[in-house]
Amino acid sequence: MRIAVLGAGIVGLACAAELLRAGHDVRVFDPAPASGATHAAAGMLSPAGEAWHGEENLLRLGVESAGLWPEYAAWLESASGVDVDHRRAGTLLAGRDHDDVQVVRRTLDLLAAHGIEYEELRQRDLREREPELSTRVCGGAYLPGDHSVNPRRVSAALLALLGDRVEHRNAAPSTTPSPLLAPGEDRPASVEGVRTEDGRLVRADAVLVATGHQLPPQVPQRRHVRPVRGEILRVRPPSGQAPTQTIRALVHGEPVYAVPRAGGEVVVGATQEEHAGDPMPTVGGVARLLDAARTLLPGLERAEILEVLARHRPGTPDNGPMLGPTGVHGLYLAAGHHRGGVLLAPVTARILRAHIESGSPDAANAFSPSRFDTSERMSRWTSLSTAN
Amino acid sequence: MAAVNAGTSPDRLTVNGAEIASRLWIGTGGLTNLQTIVDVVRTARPGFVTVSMRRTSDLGEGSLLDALAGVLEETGARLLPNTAGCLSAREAVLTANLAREALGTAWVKLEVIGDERTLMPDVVELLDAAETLVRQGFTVLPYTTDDPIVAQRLVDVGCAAVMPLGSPIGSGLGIRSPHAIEAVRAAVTVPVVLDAGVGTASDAAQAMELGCDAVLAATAITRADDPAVMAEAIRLGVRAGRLARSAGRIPRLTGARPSSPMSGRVSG
Ligand SMILES: Cc1cc2nc3c(=O)[nH]c(=O)nc-3n(C[C@H](O)[C@H](O)[C@H](O)COP(=O)(O)OP(=O)(O)OC[C@H]3O[C@@H](n4cnc5c(N)ncnc54)[C@H](O)[C@@H]3O)c2cc1C
Repeated sequence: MRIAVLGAGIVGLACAAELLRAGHDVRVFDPAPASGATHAAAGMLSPAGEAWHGEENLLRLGVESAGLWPEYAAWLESASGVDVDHRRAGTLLAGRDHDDVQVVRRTLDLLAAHGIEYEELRQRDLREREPELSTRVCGGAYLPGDHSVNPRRVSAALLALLGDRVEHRNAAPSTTPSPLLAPGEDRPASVEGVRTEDGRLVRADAVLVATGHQLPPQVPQRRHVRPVRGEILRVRPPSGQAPTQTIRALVHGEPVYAVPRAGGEVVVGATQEEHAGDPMPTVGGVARLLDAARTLLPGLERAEILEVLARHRPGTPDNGPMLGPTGVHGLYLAAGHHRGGVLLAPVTARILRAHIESGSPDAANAFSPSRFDTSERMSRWTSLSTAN
Repeated sequence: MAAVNAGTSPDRLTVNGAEIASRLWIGTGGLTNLQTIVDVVRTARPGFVTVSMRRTSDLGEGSLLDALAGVLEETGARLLPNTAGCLSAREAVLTANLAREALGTAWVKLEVIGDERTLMPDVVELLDAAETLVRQGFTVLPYTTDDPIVAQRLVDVGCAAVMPLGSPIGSGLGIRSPHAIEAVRAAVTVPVVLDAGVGTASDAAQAMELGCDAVLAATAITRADDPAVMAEAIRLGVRAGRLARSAGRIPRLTGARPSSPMSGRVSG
């Protein structure tokens, strides 16, 4: 099949590489590949650490994808020659004070209910596992199944695999109205390809939209993806003072994580805020992150700040991604991965490949885009505020 | 106090001349999932849903405010912007004005906190901000300490209600000082809305039994394992407490009293 992919973030790239591997004729369009959320992501493959009540389907999808990662990383590295810094040391969950530890325990209860492995640790055991932790950390747990990769290296590897199939251009799905449309109905019925920003029509049998937090107007579900700002830093502590595994913690109620990278860098993240406009890092957000991080890991006190940045996560109403057919024939969606696009990339690629190859209009997965209403309406906000 | 009518006319709450459809108000702080708040509002049918204007600037399609707008329309609940996170009167006044401009409402839940650690109200700044906002035509509902004198001062400057805390924000510790809440109730004639500290349904019931006119719950609901079920529980708690208050409880005695009279029994 001829398949056009819009968006070269980790999601679009993983899908494109999977389809290429399956022998399809793939083209990818993105004016600035791998510069969106993927560029900011910490790269935690952390389904257990992200578990939350009411999001059990997402937890299951995350666990499935985490299970694919070891083989996926090995394949990527051998096919592209790029080391993706896949780390399997596990993750520590830590609570700074007693209240924080109570919240951690609540997560552990949820994991227990889903049969996910963890080991609860007392203060001393925590610090034995991670000597860089503050003496004041009160308790936590070890999550052996929560690993990490470097998402920038993953996208570099995927870009290397795709080579000149990636075109540095904006594009939008190009649709044709169905001949069977009733008068007055204007929902396009099928996709003929993509139209690039310079006006070219690139014909395709299927178009996959993976443009992150902003979906093109041709996608009926576009209003269900919203920007959720995240701020994040990269620092380099003095040699020997970087943690040796991912640490996710609550520090007096403030969530923070530290993810070690090859070469001694540490990623410190991340804030989360409902915010429109450009994703700029703020003084307040960065101050809170740094405060929490150096309370957790005193060795960061003299770390060099290498980078401070903010990007938009693609949020959806239920925090789960939208994977599969959109209702417009030939138009597929892989978007809304919110906090877990890196973790979910391999399973997303598999699911989308199955949908595109089968061509069936119904998405038999819990994350079908069809779970959201696609009726057209005015911004509800405008109508409400005038009615008040 | 007005009797709670068991049948005909519903027990409505009036704030600054406006009828508020429910005595349960909901805060969106602690929200982890957008769909959750929609389900919660649908279940709870609250009088107000508060939203932080400092943390939420997005009015676009798919945003929190957009999602809320839909369910508010559906349930008849009202949106109440708040100034959560503001540390001075100046910042709170600015935030309230931005909210008025963006949302077209002159109602504001006024919060001025002393620091980000305790999240306790800074009553000096609060009074100052309340006075300014009332003068600017706002309907001001201040989040305050459980101090009856401060409550009076807030009413003196024109606040339409007072919202004393039961215990610190997000603590779920319930009402730590029931006497103080009763004293606030006795000190003012405007509605008293218990704000902060509610952890579960019985806390909401207790607030109403103490004479509060409404209860605001946020993290107790948004962070519960099942937020929609907790919303329903707290709604019923509010209702139960309100009914108990109007029914008139028996006095607390030091010893047992027989529940069936021993004298005057028909015998023989
Ligand atoms: C601070 C932060 C930390 C994170 N940490 C983690 C983590 O530890 N683990 C994890 O799993 N996830 C994490 N995430 C989430 C993860 O980054 C996202 O879920 C993931 O990157 C989404 O990938 P995407 O490809 O959908 O979007 P993006 O990476 O945003 O890519 C979208 C791409 O689409 C392109 N595009 C947009 N419009 C068009 C168009 N019209 N035509 C062509 N191209 C277009 C953009 O240029 C962009 O390159 C984090 C996110 C943030 C912000």
